[in-house]
Amino acid sequence: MKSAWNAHYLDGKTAARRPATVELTPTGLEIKTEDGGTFRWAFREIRQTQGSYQGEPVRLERGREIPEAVVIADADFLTELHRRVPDLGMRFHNPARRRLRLHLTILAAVLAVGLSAAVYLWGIPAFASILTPFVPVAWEERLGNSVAEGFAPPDKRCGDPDRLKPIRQIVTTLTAPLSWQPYPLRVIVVNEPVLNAFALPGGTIVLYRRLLEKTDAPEELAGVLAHELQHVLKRHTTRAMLQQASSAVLIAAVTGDASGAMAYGLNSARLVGELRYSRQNEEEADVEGMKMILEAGIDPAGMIRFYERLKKEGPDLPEALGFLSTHPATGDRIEKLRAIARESGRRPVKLLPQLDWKEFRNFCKSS
Amino acid sequence: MYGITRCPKCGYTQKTSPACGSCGQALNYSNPFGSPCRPESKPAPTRPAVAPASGQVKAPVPEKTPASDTTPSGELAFHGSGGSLFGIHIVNIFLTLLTLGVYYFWGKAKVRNYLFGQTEFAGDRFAYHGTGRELFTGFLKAAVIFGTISAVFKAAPFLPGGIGVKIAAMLLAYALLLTFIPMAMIGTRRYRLSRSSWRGIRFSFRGKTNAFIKLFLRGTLLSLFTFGIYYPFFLTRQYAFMTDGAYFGNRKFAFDGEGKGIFGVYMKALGLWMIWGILVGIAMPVATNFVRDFAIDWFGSKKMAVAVLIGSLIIATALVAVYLQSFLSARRQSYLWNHTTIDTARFQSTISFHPLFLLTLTNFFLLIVTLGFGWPWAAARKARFYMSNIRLEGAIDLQAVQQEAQAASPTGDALGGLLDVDVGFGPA
Repeated sequence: MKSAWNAHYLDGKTAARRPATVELTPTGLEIKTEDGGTFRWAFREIRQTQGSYQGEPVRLERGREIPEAVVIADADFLTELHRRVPDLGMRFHNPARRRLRLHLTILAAVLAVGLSAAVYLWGIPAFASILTPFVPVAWEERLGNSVAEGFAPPDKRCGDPDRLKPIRQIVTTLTAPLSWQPYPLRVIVVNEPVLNAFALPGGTIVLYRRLLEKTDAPEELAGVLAHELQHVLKRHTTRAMLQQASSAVLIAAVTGDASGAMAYGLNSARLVGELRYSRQNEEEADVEGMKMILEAGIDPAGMIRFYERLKKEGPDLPEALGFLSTHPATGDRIEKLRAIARESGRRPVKLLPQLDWKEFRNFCKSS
Repeated sequence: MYGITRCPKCGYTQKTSPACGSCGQALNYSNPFGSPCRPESKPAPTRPAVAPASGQVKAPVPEKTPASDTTPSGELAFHGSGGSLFGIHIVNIFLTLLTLGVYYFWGKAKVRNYLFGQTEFAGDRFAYHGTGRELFTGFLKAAVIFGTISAVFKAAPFLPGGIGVKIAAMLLAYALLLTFIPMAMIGTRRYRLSRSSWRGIRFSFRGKTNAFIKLFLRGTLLSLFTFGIYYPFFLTRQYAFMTDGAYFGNRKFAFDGEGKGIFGVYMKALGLWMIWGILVGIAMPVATNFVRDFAIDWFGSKKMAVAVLIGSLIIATALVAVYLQSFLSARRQSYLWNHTTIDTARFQSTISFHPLFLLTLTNFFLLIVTLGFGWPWAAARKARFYMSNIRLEGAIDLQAVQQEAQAASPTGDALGGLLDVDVGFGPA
């Protein structure tokens, strides 16, 4: 058996490397340089800093800040070392365990994927749900108000408070069954031909003129309002912000040194991930909104009818691109609404029976 | 002045002070071994002051020098593979998730250790000596500094008082940032060089931070006021500072290039970029007519035709940008390397434009397609490319290279990471 290996000894004082031979002894190494120096290193003083990878020379260091080192090109040295001195354990890399290391690496990879998926699927939503109730309503209101100034500047708003009375009545009907809710709710109608509505944190709901004009009955508008009210009550914006912040942390943990194109690629991954959270929130607003409609004794057919009109108006993305959408496919949403509405057998009350809705819905244009 | 002394306990060399800045050991200037010396001076034949190793049995260091040991060949090579790096990376991810992020720093040290160990110069591997613990404490300190800067930025618009107060706060924030960026650049370089070695001899950086801050502020302002004309000169001066302050043991790196050496390349790239702009300006009306007359038949609708047109324009412009960037980068790096020397040896670069362009493009697609998870392969390809295209010409008397390690704090490196400034070994 081989007992001496060719090596280079580096004294940590000059850059000259001194050819040497390394011999294994029961307690350590004996290094003999060609120029006549002899050094004895005990195993417990030695650190292996290189040579754990195929083809990398074995580098052993001794001493703290500025170590001396010996470099052995032949990786068999390590095999022989472990054979002769079996109790060295983790101090030196063992080439015989390379297969095991590979298996552990693969296991770590699988666990890493599983762990990230678990954090994404359950960890982040749970974290956001737990934290959301601790965010003060006053913060949400302040945020909502500053956004409202931007999206719905006062000169674009429609109608004096009197004209909005029917809308306020619908909101009151919807929220009447709630025992308590902390938000000062208000609805703003914006004079722009946009078919959209959104809820801001803190209780402000913004309706665009065209959406109002598209409704054929107060029950249809009630469906939209119920959905948006649920965004407010379930604090979806706050939750989304917490989810965004935590997915950023997850991405940072998964990627480490992200830079350039990689950061770009990961940002898209993060966006896709967050869109899924967004679709979950939309679904919750649909389901809870429909329940709200039923609780208030309003005809659920209105909400469904309006969603069907939306479906005709703007076709969904192709199914394959569904993961790029902020909302679930409209068809699926309608299915879900129908399923919940079917369960209720109560006779609905008619909303705003005195009002000529077809006239009212156009008030924005005429004002 | 340049009083340099060596700490007898840990071996670090440093500026004159009563105690070692690295380990706190009191320094004794009457000690003939640790006597202050100028780093530029020819190496004194004094024995290094590191205490004799206890394990030495016979006469340890030979009195007569063996046949002069010079660099046999100045080739650099990178032996690492994307697969191994990916293995390290994936284990790092797992442990980072498991430790809620703390392991990140240990993982980073591991990656650096791998990259250094796989890089060979003249038959010997480099070694990395930084530790995860260092990187972690460095990060904690840097986070405080970074937090202060971003707090000033975030708070500025909400400060009570008139617009004057807000503007003053913003200016203060920019001034802080403009000071901390160069500080972080120097800190990064100082730390990384101090933790790198070849043949057991540490690299070090000894440039003065204040001098670089001045250089950086002046260069930034001049570049702004000259609409970028000064920028190539600014860049060259930065590189010169980074190189002139760098040492391998007691041997100094030096840079003998000038800004005008890369000015022409910058002007050429700028000119080509403008020509591209003019071409787009000419092509747009033609393309618009094309859409009106034909494209609707081809693409189904006008919307689709416009989308295809704009999409291809964006992709073409991005390609041209990467192309010009590679051109600029290859020429600049070659110029800077070719004017970098250590002792009597000079670096030589064969980095050329088309291979660099191909590398950049393919790495970009590799990262996009794998959502970033392909970075170990991209990094290995990049390292292989650069290492095979740089060499050192001329011999260095390695027997004469003495250890002169310098202490350095990891905070600068961590701050550099947070501020996204990256300072590598050579020109970027």
